[in-house]
Amino acid sequence: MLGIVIDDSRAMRKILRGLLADLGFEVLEAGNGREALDLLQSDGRVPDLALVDWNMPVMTGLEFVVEARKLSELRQMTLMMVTTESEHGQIVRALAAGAHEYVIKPFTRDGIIDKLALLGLVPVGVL
Amino acid sequence: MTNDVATTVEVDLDMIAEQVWSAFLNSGEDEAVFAAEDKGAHMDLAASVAMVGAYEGHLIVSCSHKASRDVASVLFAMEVDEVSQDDIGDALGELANVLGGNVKSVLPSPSQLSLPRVSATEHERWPGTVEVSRTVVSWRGEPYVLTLLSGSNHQEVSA
Amino acid sequence: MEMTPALFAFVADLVYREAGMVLRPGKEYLVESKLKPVAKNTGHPTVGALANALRTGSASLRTQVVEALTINETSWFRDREPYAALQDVILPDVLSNSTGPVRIWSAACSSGQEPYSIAITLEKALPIGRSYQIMGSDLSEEMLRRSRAGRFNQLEINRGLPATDLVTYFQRAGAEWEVIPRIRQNLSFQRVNLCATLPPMQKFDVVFLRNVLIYFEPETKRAVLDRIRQVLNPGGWLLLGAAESTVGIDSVFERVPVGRTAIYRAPARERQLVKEVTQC
Ligand SMILES: C[S@@+](CC[C@H](N)C(=O)[O-])C[C@H]1O[C@@H](n2cnc3c(N)ncnc32)[C@H](O)[C@@H]1O
Repeated sequence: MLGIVIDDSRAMRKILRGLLADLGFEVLEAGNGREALDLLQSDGRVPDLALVDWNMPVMTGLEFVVEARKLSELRQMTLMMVTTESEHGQIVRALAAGAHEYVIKPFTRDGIIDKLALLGLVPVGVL
Repeated sequence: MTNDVATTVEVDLDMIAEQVWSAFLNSGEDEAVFAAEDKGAHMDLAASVAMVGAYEGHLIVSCSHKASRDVASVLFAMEVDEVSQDDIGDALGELANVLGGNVKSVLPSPSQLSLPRVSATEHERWPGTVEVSRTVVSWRGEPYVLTLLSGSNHQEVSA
Repeated sequence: MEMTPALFAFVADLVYREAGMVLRPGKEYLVESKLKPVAKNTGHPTVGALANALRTGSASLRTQVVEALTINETSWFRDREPYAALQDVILPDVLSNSTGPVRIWSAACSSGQEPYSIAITLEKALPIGRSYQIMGSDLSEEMLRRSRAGRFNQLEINRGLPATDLVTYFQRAGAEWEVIPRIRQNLSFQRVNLCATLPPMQKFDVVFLRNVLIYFEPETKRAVLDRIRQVLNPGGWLLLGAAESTVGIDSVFERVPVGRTAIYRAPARERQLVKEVTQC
């Protein structure tokens, strides 16, 4: 399984990368939406999962979701927002734009795993 | 030009801080204490995010150099003396971002959150703002002061 | 170590009598660490002093100790499969055999994620015109208080609640999220100790009894399952936790495999009531 972590904080990327690696993912990293699109284009592979922060310089996570949804080659990629943005309306916006799931920061390891189980990316009951 | 609504909003900074610490800065024995005593200690660094829109204001977390290293070392899972200045800026910035986003969700919406900014407290001025809420988290013997300000300073300056 | 064997035995006996839960020797350290905050909050200098005070202390002190030693771990749609079974197997059966409100009991509901997950499942699956009633119960007053409030913090929300359900069935309440009133009006909560005679209650179509039997010994499990059967409608359904089963304990419930899990069914017509022999 291939995952990409898109977050402008290196600390957050390290935490999420570690978590996904423990679950058997190979992990790519990008510091904003633009960087992620460029990386995915040059890499050529389609990740099974993208964990996407919202507030980032250059291109926000919401803009990334909109762009990614326009690209037919990325259709198989599951998009999960992982962000501190947590108003009701923001979550609705992200889901309407094409995000499949939404995790609010702060999160625990179990929280991320539960959501990945929901998305069928890890079996139920893994810990 | 202070925001009338804002000054009357109740924000439970302690509850938000508790969640953030328990999820991200919980490293076993050293439990954080919330709503700790405010001893008015000198703070070296301030990390802040601005809110713009239906609510205008700032969420600031300030702490000592030592405290900032503790945060970076836990978030990056590195030894305290291994963390760089860059790591500290990144970690404190993310702390302000997570606290700020959760605080924003309790305030009038829609508002936008700025990217975090981290600098030495001596360079930070917040003219034209009022303090809406303030609390102290004590963790590993160091205080972290969380402050919510209302009002945006540039508006005040030009008024 | 201030938790002497005698004190440990005393605490273990208390927890067994009040909650049916078995604490075996070897758990001294766990008991001590869980009782530390209670000792602090109740003004006892040490856990030893707290345990001594229990001998003569108030009922409320005993309750606090028992509550501190029970495990409240829970999450939304825990294990997922029971909720799929509820929707795909149980509800069609219940709906075709009755006309009134569907009645479900969440019998160890902890902080409320289980009964509200059941409610969300029903909101989606019930045909128009069919209503439902859910009762949540627990031993712990603190858990009942939280269940009644129907409020959950960000960390709890992240534990398995689909984002689409969050935006549909919850509203913001300060830094927390609150189940919308339309759903909450279908739930009621009351304290029920599963190890004592049950209070009088109207019968249920389904009982969720998940992740609580594991703490009991076989005799207690049998007694609890007996009591549950008596408040189930004929042909009513029972759901247990992933590590629990009636096998070897109770031969009256029929085991019905569904997907990778199994659910249990009471006999279609009530058999003769057996006099209760075990008290726990
Ligand atoms: C691990 S939680 C399970 C929560 C939920 N059913 C689930 O599966 O996620 C166990 C719950 O059982 C409750 N409990 C323990 N002993 C009990 C008893 N004797 N009677 C009623 N509830 C009890 C505890 O207070 C706790 O909330």
